[in-house]
Amino acid sequence: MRETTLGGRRARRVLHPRTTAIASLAAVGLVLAACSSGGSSTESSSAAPESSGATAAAASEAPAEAVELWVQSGNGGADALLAGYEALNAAFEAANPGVTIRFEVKSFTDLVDTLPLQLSGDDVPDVTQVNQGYGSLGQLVGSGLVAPLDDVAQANDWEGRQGPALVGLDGRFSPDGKTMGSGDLYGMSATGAWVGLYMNMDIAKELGITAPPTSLEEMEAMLAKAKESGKTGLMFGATDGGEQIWLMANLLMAYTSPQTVSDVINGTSEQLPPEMLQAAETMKAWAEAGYLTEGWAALDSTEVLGMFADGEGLFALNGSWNVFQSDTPESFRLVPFPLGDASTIAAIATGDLPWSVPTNAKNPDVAKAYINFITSPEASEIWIKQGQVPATVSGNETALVEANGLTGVSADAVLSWVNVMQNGTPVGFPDWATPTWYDTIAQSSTALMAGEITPQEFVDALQADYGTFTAERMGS
Amino acid sequence: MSLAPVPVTAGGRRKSPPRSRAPGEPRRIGYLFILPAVLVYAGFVFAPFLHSIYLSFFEGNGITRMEFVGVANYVDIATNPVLRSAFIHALELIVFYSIIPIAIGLLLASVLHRSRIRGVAFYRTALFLPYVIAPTAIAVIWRWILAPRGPLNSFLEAVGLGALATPWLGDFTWALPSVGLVGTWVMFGLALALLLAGAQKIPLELYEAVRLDGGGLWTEFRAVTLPGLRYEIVVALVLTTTAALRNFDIIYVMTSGGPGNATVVPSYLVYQQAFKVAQIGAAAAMGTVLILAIVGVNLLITRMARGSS
Repeated sequence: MRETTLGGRRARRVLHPRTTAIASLAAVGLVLAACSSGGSSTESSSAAPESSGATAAAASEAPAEAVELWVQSGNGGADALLAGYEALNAAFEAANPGVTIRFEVKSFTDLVDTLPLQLSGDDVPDVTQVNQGYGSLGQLVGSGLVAPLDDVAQANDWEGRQGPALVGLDGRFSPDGKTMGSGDLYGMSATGAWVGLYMNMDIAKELGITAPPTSLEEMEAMLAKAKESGKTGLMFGATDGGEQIWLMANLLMAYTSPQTVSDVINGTSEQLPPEMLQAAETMKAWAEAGYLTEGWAALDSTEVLGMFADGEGLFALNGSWNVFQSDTPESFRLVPFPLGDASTIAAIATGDLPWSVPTNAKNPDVAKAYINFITSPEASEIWIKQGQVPATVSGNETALVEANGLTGVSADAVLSWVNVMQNGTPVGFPDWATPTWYDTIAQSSTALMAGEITPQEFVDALQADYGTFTAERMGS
Repeated sequence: MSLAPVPVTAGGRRKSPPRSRAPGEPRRIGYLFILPAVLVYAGFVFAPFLHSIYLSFFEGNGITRMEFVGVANYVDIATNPVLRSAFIHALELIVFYSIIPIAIGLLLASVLHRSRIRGVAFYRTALFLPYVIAPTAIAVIWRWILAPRGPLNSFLEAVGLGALATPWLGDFTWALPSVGLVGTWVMFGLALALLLAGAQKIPLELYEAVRLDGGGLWTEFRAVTLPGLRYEIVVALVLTTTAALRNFDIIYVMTSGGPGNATVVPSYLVYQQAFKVAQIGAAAAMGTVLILAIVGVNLLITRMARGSS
């Protein structure tokens, strides 16, 4: 008994790659064919290459081999997002007979903490979400744990779907993992995530404010007005660290330019721009002026957004991904953080955790077809139906948002994303710059805003971390 | 075992070969019995520990090539203010986890065991309960109590002490004592249970003798209670200081080391460096120093106990 099982298992292992190769070619062919024929009119001309037609034909002759595609998500807790994936998984299985999807969901932390170890083994998912940045995807690329996606990306014009800026931001790395934002493509996002300014228009009306601020000066005047009337200006919670980092990046964008902040994140220079000091001074000034939620240093982002949804505070700085988890009234707005003037539109706006194919994946071709499918313009419709922000901009968003009854911040989440993608600059998350920067910024900014350290000490702490990592990365 | 005579076996062997040692002496076969435990211990505790010491001399993310850096990681612990502050915080937590609970426990034990209070067993159980609850649950409860708009601040405001209300866990001065007092709350039940059990075996005649000799309450405590509880105190010290030094869950849930670095402790840094920023060597060095610190403190405690007996 024992012997046969062992033998059987070994035999299956030997057979595996070959059978899956055939099956996956078939699947890729099917998907490519489906994309090119059934694609919506807005899809930029992505005629499927000749070869894919041939494989599709070959596939229909061969009996479909059963392939179990192991898909690993790090979106645990985001139910609406997961519902979207469920719908897409069903559609993918229907379009690819013989493919069944094993969809495994982990929490974000769980995913990010365990990925390097998991992917360095043999038993790896066929396709997995990863986190952007030098400390995460960069490390996986540099260690050779994820495979490039350029072939399928070029064949299906992924840059046409999402724009070269966003595709580069989410998934491009030099093969040594040392340069972010350019090079080969290692990840592609299905949905968008951006950080903006939530605004309670009811409180705004009480204060005599009619429209969201279009410049930083306007916003500061509004904060002061709120303070005078005894309202909280900016709902702020610091224990997760994210809000300080977003505030810092947005202020730095206002004082320099979106491109400068992108360069900082990609690490083109070892030296932080001098305007960082100005950003630090503003953060400290806002905290000292009492613009922020009382007790902000002990509150977390979710708590604070909950209070905001309950009608407290004029502004909140938070992610588009949180829109659907709180029942914000319809009059609320979600807009890009105001920068220098009305003509500059930019936001921390990136794909949600990009999808990558591990180097050791058993079904790499089906995996690539899967990524191609969930980032297609057709998938966008499913995303909007779920109230999510599709990373792929199809041009139909306004109609789809109306058709699906999205209003208030839910509609803004999609439409402001399209605005940033079409008319502005998407910028990455600052903590991608070094593996330790998230903690350094989070800790130092809390100390800065609580008056424990000076703006100069804050900048020095950030520069020390940033300079060391960037020098090491560029040096070796 | 029946005492009936054992029938002689077929071969007629009724005598065992001559013994080479007295009956009851240790035999080599004994090692066979502890072998499974030793293997498990060696495989899952000792070998990983040695490996982690080995890793602590390298720098890298644990996947690609690791670079040998000698004792640089240890030098870093001694010189980097954040890493050093983690150990200072751990020492401060010993006061809250160990010294305060045992002091309270001693006081209560010396009172409780001599007076007849109704339902002592109930109180003992109630006070011991925090030690049994999962630390994560405790941390969540206390996080809520200490929240800026939590019950504690509401209470302070209700009784007119609103000026004292503060975001406890977000305050650079109060965050560490706040976390520490949660430890006191957890550990004090354990200390009390241990010390009460010990106090019950102290003969009451000894107290009577002190009284006859004209001694007061303080003399009773110093001459009878304290020496009588020596071993219980050592056990309580070992358990609570270890808990203080390796504290992770409560910090992780309540403050994640914040605000700033105000509540960073060694175990949290081990986790952060190993899993968050992929500095395996630094994490291993931190872990090694932490284990040495725990072993060192425990040796010191047991040595002191032996010295005073």
